[in-house]
Amino acid sequence: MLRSIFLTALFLVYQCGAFAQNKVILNAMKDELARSMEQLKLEKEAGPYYVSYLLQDAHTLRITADYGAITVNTDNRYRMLKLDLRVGSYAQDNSNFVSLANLAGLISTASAGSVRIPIDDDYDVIRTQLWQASDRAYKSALETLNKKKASLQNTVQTDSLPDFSKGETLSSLGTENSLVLQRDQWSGLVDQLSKLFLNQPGIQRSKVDLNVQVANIYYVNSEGTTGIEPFSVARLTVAAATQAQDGMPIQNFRTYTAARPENLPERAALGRDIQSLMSEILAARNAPVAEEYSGPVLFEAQASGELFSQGFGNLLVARKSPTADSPQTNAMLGRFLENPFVNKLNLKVASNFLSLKATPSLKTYNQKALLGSYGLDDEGIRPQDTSLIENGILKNLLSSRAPVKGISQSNGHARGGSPAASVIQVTSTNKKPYTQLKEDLIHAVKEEGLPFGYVVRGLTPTAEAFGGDADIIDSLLATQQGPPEPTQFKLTKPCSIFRLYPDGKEELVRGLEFGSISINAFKNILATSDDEFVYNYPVSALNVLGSLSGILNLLGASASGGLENSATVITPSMLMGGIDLKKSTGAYPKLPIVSYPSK
Amino acid sequence: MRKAIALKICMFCLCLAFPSVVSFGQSQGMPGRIQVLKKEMARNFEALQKEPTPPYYLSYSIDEIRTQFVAAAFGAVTAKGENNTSNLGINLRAGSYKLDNSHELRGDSLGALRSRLSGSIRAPLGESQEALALLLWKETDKAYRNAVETLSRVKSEQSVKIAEEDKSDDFTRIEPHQSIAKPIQIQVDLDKWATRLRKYTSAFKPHAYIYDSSASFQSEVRHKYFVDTEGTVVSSPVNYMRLSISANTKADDGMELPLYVSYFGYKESDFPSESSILKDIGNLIDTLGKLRTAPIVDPYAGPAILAGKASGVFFHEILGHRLEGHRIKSESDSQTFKKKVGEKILPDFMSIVFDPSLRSLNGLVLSGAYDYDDEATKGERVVSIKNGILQDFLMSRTPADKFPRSNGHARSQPGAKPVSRQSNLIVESQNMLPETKLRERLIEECKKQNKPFGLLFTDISGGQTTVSRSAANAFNVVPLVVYRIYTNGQPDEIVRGVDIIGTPLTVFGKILATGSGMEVFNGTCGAESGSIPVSAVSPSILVGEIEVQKKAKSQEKPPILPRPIKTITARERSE
Repeated sequence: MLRSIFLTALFLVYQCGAFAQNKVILNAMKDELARSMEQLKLEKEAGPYYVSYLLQDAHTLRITADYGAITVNTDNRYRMLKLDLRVGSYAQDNSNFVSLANLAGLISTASAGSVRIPIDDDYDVIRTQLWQASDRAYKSALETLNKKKASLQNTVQTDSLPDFSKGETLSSLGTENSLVLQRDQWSGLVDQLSKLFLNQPGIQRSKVDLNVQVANIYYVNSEGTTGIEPFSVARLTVAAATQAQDGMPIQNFRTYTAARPENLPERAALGRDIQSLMSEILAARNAPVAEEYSGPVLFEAQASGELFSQGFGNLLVARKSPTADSPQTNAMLGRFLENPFVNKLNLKVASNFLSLKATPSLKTYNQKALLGSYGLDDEGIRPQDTSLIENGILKNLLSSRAPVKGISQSNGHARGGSPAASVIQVTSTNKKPYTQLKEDLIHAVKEEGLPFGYVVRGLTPTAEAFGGDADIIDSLLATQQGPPEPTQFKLTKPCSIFRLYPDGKEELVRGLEFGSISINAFKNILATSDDEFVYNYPVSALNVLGSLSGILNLLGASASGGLENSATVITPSMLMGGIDLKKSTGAYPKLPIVSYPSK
Repeated sequence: MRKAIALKICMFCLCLAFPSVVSFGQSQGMPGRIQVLKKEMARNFEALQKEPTPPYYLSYSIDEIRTQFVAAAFGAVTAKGENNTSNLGINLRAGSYKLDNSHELRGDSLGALRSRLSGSIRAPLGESQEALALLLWKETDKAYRNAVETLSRVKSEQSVKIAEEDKSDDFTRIEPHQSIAKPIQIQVDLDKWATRLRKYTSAFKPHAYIYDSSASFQSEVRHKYFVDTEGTVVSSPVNYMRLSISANTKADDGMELPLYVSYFGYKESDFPSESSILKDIGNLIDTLGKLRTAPIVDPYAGPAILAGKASGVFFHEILGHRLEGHRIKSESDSQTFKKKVGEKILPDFMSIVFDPSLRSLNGLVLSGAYDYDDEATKGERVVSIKNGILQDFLMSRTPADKFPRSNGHARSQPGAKPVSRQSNLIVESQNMLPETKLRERLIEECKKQNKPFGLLFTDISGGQTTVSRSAANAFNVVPLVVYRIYTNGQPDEIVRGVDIIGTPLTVFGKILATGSGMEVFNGTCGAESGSIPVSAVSPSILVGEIEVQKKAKSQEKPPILPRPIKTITARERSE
């Protein structure tokens, strides 16, 4: 009975949403866009040649429990505008340029790109906000273009790529989401799960975090494209930590993703999984400390997904490094943004038996929601299925409307300020049952004269590696040191890693982390399993490292909010040769002096 | 170090009947949180006594805050919601009252920043005793390790660097006390406020020159639980309600012209009637219209009147921040007044008092009131300047030379480390002239100095001041509404584009007289321990010489297109 009432209510809200909102929002957007294109113009200057408005109409929940009780419980209903206004021409406009002489201006420009819009469906006021944002953006675009022209006069340009590619006129009207969320139901779930960690003297720290975002994204641009893009993601993270007797920190995670929180695993299943997470942590506490290792490593399921997201995920995008007005800044930007794969088109980048393709249109796979799927990107382009690697040869990159060498057109992958992965399928012609893959590892180990090999079952998720309990200043200092050489990448710490002995025996160990991995390491993939693992991950953390707007977002505070895009990789487990594992260094904190509190 | 008063003013009467305070001798009947805090404090403190460097003091505090808010612009709601937070504060001290880990490490700016930022720890939102015990266990461990490490650095610095000027102890005892008050239950009807804000902000719609407008209402209810190893137990509530309405326009030369009205209260009936608020909004719209075309003032030094609110901010920035006790201890502070105790720094008809116990004064509601400060010391009335003579500083439990005891002015935003801060600043005068007389004195003074006009500052958005040794010790106050008062009988003229500037000590000597009506500025003050509510009450003051400079101005032109208004488009007609 209750259930049917609930569904009816949802249905009604949904109906109202579908018919009332998009008309007011889209009309206000269309009308102000038309006015901006026709009349927004300073005397003696040209008006904009391109304008787009993207409005996120969102409802989000963030519920976090620490140590077994809810400490954060926020419910946020907002509308946020992101606008792209360009002066000049497709060949040369105000984009792809940074003036570090005016860093403050740069940051304020970046934050001016995100404007809060009323949640009342009020045509006048929505238009007023669009008008203000457009006016600011136009003036700042003119200034930037002038600076850019002045700066480029003094340097010889090595490429003559246009700044922006044309897009076709589209009408992509998805079915709008219901924005109704049952906060109490989900805070109840988080509270119950977190309580499982109470009275567990072996566990020092626990965290259960639920992040739910549902939205409808409205889009118009001056090329005539109109879009309504439904967006929804629910991400549940469970993390726990303790210390071994020698003080070494031990932590482990579980992440669950679904399109809506209703589709997360049942509470009972989550409870059982948390029990096994605790057992794993307690086991890791007493595991032997491992020594340095160099040799073959088997990345299993989740670890293979993280390996992809931290390695390939960043390399498969056609990022454009903006020009800056000083050589030093150019060098710094290059270090942050340069993607060596841009120069590797039609060259071998992975083992011969591996192929990768992007299939952003694919919504589910084996009944699992693929959160990296969408119908229209942030630049009004419909994402295209794209073959990226064929039999080890790099064929294409995921692109936005900012052309790079060899890729002049967008394949609809602009999301969150730079191109990002959508749904990536990894296929292999050298695949075998998992048990056979383990045999292969043993074989490779023997061949190299090693006493054992390693199997990684869990790799710390990137998002966790950045957040968690890291000291704010320390993580800022770490960011200042910048990423490693562009031709290498770093993996986060393994949270579940086993030795595999030639006799088939497995042994859990602790205290290992990865050395730098060369981007050529994908050529050392020896074989894959024949099963597939669907792994949804947030792309925002990668964007922070990978794009200028990401860096600016970091500086300009997460207060600007906005939705967190996801990517998906569908990958087999992978056996990779030549991986360096280092012994964790650093001083461990001592064990707590005071005993665990008794009930 | 910059401090700013954010834009919030108010003016009305009545004060809240605060919940009755009962004292208990023992734990029975105490709130569950207090019981857990006490039990875990005793357990952790006792266990750590066996360590080579045991803590000598430990306190836990929990600040629970519930905020309801709604905001609107041009008649539409832009945000609405509710927010609950709970923060844990731990003060663990190793060493002794004489020298402990809180001692200033000279030149350690990164460490200072770290200790400031690391203060905020999320605590359970509901009553969850087991989770709270776990959190206290882990965080006390962390705090203890940091304390031991910092103390050893402090001790090594004592032997390596030259002796500090200030020989005072690092911490002072207070008499243990217990006071348990129940949390305040306030739930405002946000829908009702949303309707009001739509109405208020709709008033801006017909005026095309108003580019932006917004209104926000916020109701905040706080409760603090505090226990320490000296035996103090405090459970103390406080609440705030604020309504602020702002609008801005631009002059043709690009100058931004913001104005606002704001109201403060402890309950909804403290706010003025709707018609009176709409009247204020009407005046605001009117003034904005005049400001757009008002002439720009050239740099000027001459006589001026600061109206009550402007004068309040002026004293808060220029004097108040320099009376905060921890600054006279810090080796990096310029310590303007440290050596001036017993000396005259203001005209002898003026006194400066800080009084956190007052929730209203002469019918004005004051936002800087509290029962207990953030170290759980009872807030005391402090007469800092008596008849122009400097007597006392605002003190926390961190003593300074000759000022060993706390007068209950340790304040912080929840989670941050408290330092001595202002409460309600009250400017008292024994030379109060009726406002018309004050104006005559201004004109007299102008004639004496051969100036064709003097300035009158009626409204102010806030200000900032620098107190560190490494920068010029100046202040800057940002006026919003300024008039020229002519000596030749010409009508008063509104002008724009000025900031008041100067250095502190020179200005005080030039105060000639005060008006008789008191005004209050209720605002939020930001400094090293975060944002806290404060107020400043003052009569208007006549200053013999005030210096103004041109305001930094945006180079951006006014919007190119007019503000869009509802027009039926071709598409809508066809749909």
